[in-house]
Amino acid sequence: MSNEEGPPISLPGASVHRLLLPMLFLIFAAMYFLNTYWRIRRDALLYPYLFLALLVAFGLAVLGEELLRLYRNKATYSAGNREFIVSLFQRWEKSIYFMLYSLLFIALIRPLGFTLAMVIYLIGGMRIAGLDRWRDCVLYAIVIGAITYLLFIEALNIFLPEGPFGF
Amino acid sequence: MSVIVDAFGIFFQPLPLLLLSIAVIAGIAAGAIPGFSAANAIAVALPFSLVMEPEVAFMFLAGIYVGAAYGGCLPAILINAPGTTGAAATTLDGYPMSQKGEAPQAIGVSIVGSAIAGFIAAIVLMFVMEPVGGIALQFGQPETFVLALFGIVCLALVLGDDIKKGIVSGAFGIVLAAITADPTTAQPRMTFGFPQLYDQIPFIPIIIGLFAISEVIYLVKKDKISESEFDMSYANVFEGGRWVLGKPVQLLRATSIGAGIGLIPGAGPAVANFISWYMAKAASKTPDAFGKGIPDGVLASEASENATAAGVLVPTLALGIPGTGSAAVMLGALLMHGIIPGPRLMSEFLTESVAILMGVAFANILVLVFGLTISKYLLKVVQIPTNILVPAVVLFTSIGAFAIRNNVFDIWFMMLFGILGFLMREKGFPIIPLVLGVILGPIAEPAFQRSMLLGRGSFMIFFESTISRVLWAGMVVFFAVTYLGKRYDLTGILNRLLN
Repeated sequence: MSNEEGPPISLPGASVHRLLLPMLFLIFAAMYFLNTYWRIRRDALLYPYLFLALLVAFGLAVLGEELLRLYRNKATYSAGNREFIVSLFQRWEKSIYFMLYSLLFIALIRPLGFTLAMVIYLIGGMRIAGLDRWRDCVLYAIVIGAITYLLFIEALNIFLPEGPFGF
Repeated sequence: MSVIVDAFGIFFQPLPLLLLSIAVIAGIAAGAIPGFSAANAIAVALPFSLVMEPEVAFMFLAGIYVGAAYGGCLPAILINAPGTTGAAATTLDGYPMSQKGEAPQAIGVSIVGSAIAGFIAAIVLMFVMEPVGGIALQFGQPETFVLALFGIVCLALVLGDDIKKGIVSGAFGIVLAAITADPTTAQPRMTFGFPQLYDQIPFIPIIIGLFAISEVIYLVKKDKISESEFDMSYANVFEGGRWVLGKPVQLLRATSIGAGIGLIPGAGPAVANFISWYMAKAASKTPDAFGKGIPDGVLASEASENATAAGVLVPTLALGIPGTGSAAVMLGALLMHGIIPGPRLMSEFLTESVAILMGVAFANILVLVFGLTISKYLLKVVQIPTNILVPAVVLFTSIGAFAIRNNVFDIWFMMLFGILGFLMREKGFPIIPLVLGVILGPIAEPAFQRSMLLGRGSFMIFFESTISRVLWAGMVVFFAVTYLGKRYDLTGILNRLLN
């Protein structure tokens, strides 16, 4: 994405997403500081603050580099934002839906119990991941669910949350 | 010697042998999946190891590692897609051999070369463990802190294209490990009121998330892991195997390179297989034939990879510094069983560590057996539709994350770090320094605090002993070599010199 060689590359304003991760690390560092500086004894903070300083210094360096890259391409900021966001979404559409569905599965573990949530998750997860026929989804979900149940609950005696139906 | 006899008693039991066999088969299958690294496979297998004894659990995971080290060659040879990073150099000659219709020979070379090299390396390194354990006893609190720092710094420098991002990743891991209650004042630092974060950061869900869940985000986009169809006949596999037996010098050279590089934290099989390939080319009478499909290239890459798998375990067990992502995950398994990795491990866990290396040696024999008999069938895993594989992986990993503390909170944590791992991979931040920071943070922090008390608040305590000075010097050398290497493309210069 660098424009050090050749003509500037088209870089829409939506490319600010490149700043997301270094910003997240810096926000984390700021939160750590705010949560500890006034509460914890100073000598006990020496260790985490040494590494916090490293995180901030190098995080800022990465952020600065990304900002510089965006600045060099500012001429093209207004162009293609919508297309950029749409293409980014289309590229990861299946992954986004799958991850959202996986988060829903975790949310359903407590109210439904692990076994029921697992079967529902497997059926829907396979469908979202691209398995065409519902019949196949149900069939594979039952097989994988049965293996999981026998292996983890029966054989390995791992306690998994039970729902209102007792499983 | 008594340690080796005792270790044999631990290793040579029906259960470890059976589990090792299952692990090697699973490892070969996982290694054959391009993009699904050995570390991912080990992360998925972590919940299975929960119910095992610590040394058996580690042996089980090491079996997967060894199996994957071999399995990575199968797609590298057949479809030009290395299953593991350590098999990258295998594509240079393996795939051209496949295109010439010599895939079975290439696979035969790989099976026999990998197995013999891995076996020799594990046996030799087994005898190194005891002296290393002796050195490890010299480690006090300051040395333990400097060593932890050394491991994180080396991995932060070596991995990824950008040193800055590696350091951010490592520092984030260490600070993340320090969000729990302060060890001296017992005050929560940044737990957001979650009691689950008060005592210890849940590192296994973090590891599973960073490796397995981030991989799932990529995998779900694909219909199949590999679209290519291939056939593997056994007719010429044995011919390739026999060819290896006639090349003892090449085999030993690749073994030495692999085992030696495995001992260096951060280098790992990804470096070893290319260096071994270059060295084989440099020593060859027909260097021009390399890269055009000759068995010598396959042998150099594959033998070094399995030897590295054994080498990596020495610093992992003896010093608590994992050389690769797989070893980092295995280290997590030790913590999961309540065993604190680090120099002190060798004084309390030496016999078990030697038993683990015996397991690795035996795993390489199993690679030979299974490689020659069932590789053909294990390759089918490459063709499992991802729409079935991916939900199953999320399910197994969720159970793994949950089972450690019986807490749904840990599954949320796993998913959070899966998304973070994906973002980090997308933006070129290496995830292994973060993993190591999280694992070594709880060891480094008390060591730092106690050292500062011993040194009455002076940082000079970290420079007083010879071991500390050697480690600091090592860090400076590592930094210089890595920085210069990335700045001036030393790999390219080496490549041109060898040509």
